[in-house]
Amino acid sequence: MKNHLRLIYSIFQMELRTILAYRTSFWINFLGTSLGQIGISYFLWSAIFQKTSDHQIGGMTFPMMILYSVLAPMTVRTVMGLAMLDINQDIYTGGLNKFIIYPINYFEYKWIQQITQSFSKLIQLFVAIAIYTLLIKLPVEFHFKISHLIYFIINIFISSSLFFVMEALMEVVAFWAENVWSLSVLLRFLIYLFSGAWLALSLFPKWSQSIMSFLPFKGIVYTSVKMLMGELPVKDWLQVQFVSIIWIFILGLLFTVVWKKGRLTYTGVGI
Amino acid sequence: MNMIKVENLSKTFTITLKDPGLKASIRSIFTQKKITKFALKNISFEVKAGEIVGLIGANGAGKTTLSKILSGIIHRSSGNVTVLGTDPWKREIKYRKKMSLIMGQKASLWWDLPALDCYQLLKEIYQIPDDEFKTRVEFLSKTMGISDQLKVQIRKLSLGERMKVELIAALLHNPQVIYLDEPTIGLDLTAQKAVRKFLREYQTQYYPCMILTSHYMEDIVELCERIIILKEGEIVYDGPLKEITSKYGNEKQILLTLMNGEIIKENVPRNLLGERINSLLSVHDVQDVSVTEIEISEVIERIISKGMSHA
Repeated sequence: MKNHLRLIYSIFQMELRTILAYRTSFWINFLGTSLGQIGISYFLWSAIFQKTSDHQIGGMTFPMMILYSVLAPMTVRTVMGLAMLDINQDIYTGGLNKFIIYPINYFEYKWIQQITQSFSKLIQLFVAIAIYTLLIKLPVEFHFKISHLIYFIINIFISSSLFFVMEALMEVVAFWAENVWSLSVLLRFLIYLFSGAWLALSLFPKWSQSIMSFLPFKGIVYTSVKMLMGELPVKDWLQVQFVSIIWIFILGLLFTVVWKKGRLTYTGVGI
Repeated sequence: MNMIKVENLSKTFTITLKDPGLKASIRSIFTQKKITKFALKNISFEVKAGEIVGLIGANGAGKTTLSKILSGIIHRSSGNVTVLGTDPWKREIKYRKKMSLIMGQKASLWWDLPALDCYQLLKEIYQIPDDEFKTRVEFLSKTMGISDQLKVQIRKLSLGERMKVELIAALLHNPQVIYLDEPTIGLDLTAQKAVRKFLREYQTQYYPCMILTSHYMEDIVELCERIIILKEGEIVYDGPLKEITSKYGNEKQILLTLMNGEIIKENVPRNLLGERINSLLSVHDVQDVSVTEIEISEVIERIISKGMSHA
């Protein structure tokens, strides 16, 4: 057990070192998404709120909507961590060979990489909140609580694992298909649409909101951001996490079956 | 004691064919032409502890496929494979901890990190004790003459240096079975010699069983006492390297040095040797004459290209 924890820590450290090896891209990516997002959200929602006499849209005031619009894309980016797990590349290029040979679980290795990437982006997200506070100031309705922050971090961890299983399921099709890029794009589209990354789910019709409660996407952005903003009861939050965990098991099981079948077709590049 | 036992092993691959041109590309969306290709046909052999076996054959003969099956990377179509008492396809942890595969054409280390960082991770993966790890890195890097390159990012190393750090990585956990697939490919002569010297020293010290695949005959001749020749997925020779010349080298080589300094080399069937020497001596003004066995590499190359009967 102790040895295994040391291995997990080593992979975590190695992934962090890789992130730091590309530190220029790390900061450019951060500045592009955080500052860019603040600007776009501010002007877009200013225009929308000016056209309406309502004080709230989708249950959110203008300052809360801006905050949500800034946090949502950064949260989805955090949850996506590695973005591409490169399982497809490992299958196409034979990179999988080394993981078959090493006495290590390939998916455990990839999952630790994914969590490490989510962790590094979570730090960026906190830095972005600090910048936001300095530039725009947090809304008066926003009451920061440590417990909300803890729920948010747990949410990110569960969602990052859920994204990992979903993305892995798309990429493993590489055993049979020559290109799985379109499947990953489709998954991203579904995530952005149904997780609340583009628009808060409270802006969707009621009937579609009930359907979305059973889909695996709600917990990825909407629930986590609303929890951080202190606008979600713990009971509702727990319900969404439960649904996410059930999805992790269902998709994980499906993945195991597909992986076992795919491994029989694997050629390790060339014959 | 047998470390590797292969019985009636066969492997087939299904390959999709596509004709050239736009029409064929459109047609391939709806129908695909598939063929089955035999990579290995019913092969059997055994390898004992401490043996270095050279696996030789032309491109597509099945050498790499065999290495991949033995290391558990790909699944066999039929037959039995046992390595260190286990089926490689089951990928038991105890087997993976005692085995290593080095593919000269494939990097297995992490490109963005220096070799030492990669070794640290491998130390945890293979659970190598601290003292043992330190001693082995020191011994292996010194023997390979690459101690001062271990802190350089892998992608900044030359091809030769990269191969050396890969070799060290593959041997850190002291494997009992090592598959070497083209370990000297793309290296210059000095680096090739260094790798061969290293493998010889390693073999003497740790006595692992090795299967070496290489297109460079020097690798095979210098390192292997036994060879297996594969032709179109079948074993055409399995035996001592030295015996291949006497068994299958039907010719000898006559080397004539003429008075004017010119050198004539000729391969002649053994039964016509005397007759041919007499005829050459009667025609040329000869300073020296010698008769030698044909080079092992030449015999092997002929078996690979033409088959046993033409060797």
